[in-house]
Amino acid sequence: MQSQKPQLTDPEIEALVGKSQRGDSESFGKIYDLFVGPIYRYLYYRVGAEEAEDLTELVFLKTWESIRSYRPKRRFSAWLFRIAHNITVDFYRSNHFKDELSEDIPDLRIEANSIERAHRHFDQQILGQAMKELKDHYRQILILKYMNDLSNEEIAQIMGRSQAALRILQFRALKSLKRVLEKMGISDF
Amino acid sequence: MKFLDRLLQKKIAPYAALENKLKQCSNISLPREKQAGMKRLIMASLQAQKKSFHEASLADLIEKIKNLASQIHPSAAFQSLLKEKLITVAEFHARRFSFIPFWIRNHRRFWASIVAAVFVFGLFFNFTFKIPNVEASFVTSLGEINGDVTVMRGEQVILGAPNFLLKSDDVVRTGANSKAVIRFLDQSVSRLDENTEVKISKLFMNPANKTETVVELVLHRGRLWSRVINLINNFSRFQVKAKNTVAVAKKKAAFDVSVTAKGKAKVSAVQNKVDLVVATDKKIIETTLVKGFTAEVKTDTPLAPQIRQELQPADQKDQWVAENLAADKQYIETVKQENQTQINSQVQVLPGSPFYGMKELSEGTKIALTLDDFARRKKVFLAAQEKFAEAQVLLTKGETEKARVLLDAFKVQVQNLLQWILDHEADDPVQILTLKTQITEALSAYEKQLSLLLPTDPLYALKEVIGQVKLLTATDPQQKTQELASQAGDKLLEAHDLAEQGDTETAQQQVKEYSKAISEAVSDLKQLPSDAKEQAVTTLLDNKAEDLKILEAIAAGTTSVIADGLQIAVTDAKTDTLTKIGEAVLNVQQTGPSSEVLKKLEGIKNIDVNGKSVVDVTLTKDRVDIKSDGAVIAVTGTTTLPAASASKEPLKNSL
Repeated sequence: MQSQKPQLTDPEIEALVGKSQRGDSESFGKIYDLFVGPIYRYLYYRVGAEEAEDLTELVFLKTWESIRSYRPKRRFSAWLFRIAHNITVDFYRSNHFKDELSEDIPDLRIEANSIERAHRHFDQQILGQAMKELKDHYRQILILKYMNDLSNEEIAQIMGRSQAALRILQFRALKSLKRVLEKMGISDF
Repeated sequence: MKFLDRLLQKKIAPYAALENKLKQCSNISLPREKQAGMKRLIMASLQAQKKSFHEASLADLIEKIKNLASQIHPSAAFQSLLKEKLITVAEFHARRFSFIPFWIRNHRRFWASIVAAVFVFGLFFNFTFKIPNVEASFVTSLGEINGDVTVMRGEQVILGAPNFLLKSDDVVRTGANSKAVIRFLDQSVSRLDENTEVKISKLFMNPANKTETVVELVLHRGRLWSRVINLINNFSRFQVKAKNTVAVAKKKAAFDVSVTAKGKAKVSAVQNKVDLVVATDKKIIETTLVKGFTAEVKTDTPLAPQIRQELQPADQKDQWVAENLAADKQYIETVKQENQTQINSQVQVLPGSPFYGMKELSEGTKIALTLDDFARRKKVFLAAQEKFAEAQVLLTKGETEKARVLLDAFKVQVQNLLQWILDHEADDPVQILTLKTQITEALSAYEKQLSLLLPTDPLYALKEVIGQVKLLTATDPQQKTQELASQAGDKLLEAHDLAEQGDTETAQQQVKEYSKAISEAVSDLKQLPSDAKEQAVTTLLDNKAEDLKILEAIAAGTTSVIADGLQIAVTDAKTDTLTKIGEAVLNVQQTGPSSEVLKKLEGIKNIDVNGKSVVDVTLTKDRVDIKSDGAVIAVTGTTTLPAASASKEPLKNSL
């Protein structure tokens, strides 16, 4: 599996951020290169493929607007994902969505029958559908922890929880996902 | 069978013991503790097996999630386009704000906090620097009391006391060896000698313009000294009636009225001049007493008043006059101080103070946050007034340059405000009128407060600025002419006061300024359309009548050799201004005879000072002849005499 984290050390990232704060667009371009994948992925699982691109653009525009207000007391990645989180929340508020994931994803609970379930295997679509069944903070921690490979420290800063609480949350989120998948007939991972 | 049984028993017998032994073993059991421990071990083993399986499945799940997630990434085209877009935005932004220093750009939150703090402080500041609503004491009250003083209000008899508020129809009475002072709503003052009785018959103040006042007193008996110090318009008057004689003071005067035991009314003009109206059995006689003249009127057989000039200055021969002049001097200083304090009370901080910028910001914020146009303009005017008040304080401190800057700002703000009023007159006439009234009233109040200032006073610049601004408020030619004429007349009053103080040089200068102002007014007037011109000439003639009397009063006070220059200036002023006014009259005549102008000319012709006519004006078709004591002093029209040569000697004689 390819690594989800940007291939730069924290001090290197901070240096790029510092330059960006002084108006260096090239450094901001590098930051973009580093984080566009993780942010897109985060949004993909939060809002679906349809909206992910638009919101990714919005996140980076907002990041550029606000970058001068960033202070290194927190990790830049945590700060960036917090922007993504806020934009997601705004997106749902403004669109009055009841469910976060795209309506385009078929509801497998309805169509599922024993025969189909017997032939089903764990793929992107199933994962998306299963994620939809999870509580929001379970979904968020799974995306951050396992899909974007963020450290507990970063996740704690994004979600505003203690690391001890996060460990419990991670375990419960995984169990919850496994249970949902099993209900959907997926037991072979 | 028996055999077999016996054989079997024989073979089994040796094992019976063993069987018994084995049966005993069934009673042996594992101790309970060991059983529980073994159970725990077995269960733990089972749990471990289950957990291991569960963790293994979760680990698989995590691995699977990660694998699936790693397949999710934005398309290369999207990534590339978005990057290009972001860099364009970033570069544009960097160029746009490159002129702003980095330390400002990079601390937006800090600066935002500063602005927010200033805003909050500004709101608080508004309270701190709120202009106190200081009202002048527009009341009439008793001042200093000596001895037995009573106030009769209807059937009530009230013991007089300092600061006792007086009303119309109150009668103030002093007993033997008693004296009282009354301070009036127009800042004039009267002093009652012993055994005097005065009725306050009228106290009026125009609510829309507090500088328009009327005070009427009736002297029943005794002696009353009155000092009028700063009435500023033609409407206001202060009059004392004694028997069949009424003494009327306008603008500035000091006069003494008494009713003698023999029933005579006596009026003496001690400062400036006082108009006299005497009702005789045949007619009403109107004349003007100038400084140093006394009129006596017999009331039992009403005849024309006997007017005489005092050969000796009144203060030298009369203790009462001397005392009152001294008290007036002190009183005028007190009023000047009060008026300055009233303006100063609007000042909290001055330019140069670290808080001044905050105050300006606070004001600006307050004005900017006022959405209603009219309310905002009112606040702009209040801010301008504060600048004016600050300028006064700075002038007092000798900081003339800073004061000048503030006064210029005041002028500009008021000018802009007046222009806005002109532009929006049709929008909301009621609101516009309210705003205009507020401005006019404030300017008039300043004019009154500053009217005691003379050119030698460090604060005189304030008076000049108010004059300039008042000219701006004149919206039609008649108003403008009135304002110009009024300001010209003020120069004469200043000249009078300066001459009183012995500063004849500055007095002379002010008389010349008067002539210049009238000349400019006439020049402006000639450019007007005929209707407006006629109205303007009428206004000018109205004011001229009053000016001639003041000129006579100045001349009457200048008898010493040192005042010769002033006497000449007064003579020249009289001749020159009459010539100019003659020009204005002829200019109106060109467009047709005007009955109103003729009436006003007749008014000038009838001016009577100390019982004698001052000038005679003859108007023909193309010529105005002005005579004094039978000699022509000025001619305007087809044959113009050189004013200086023609006028001085006869005029001097006439005075």
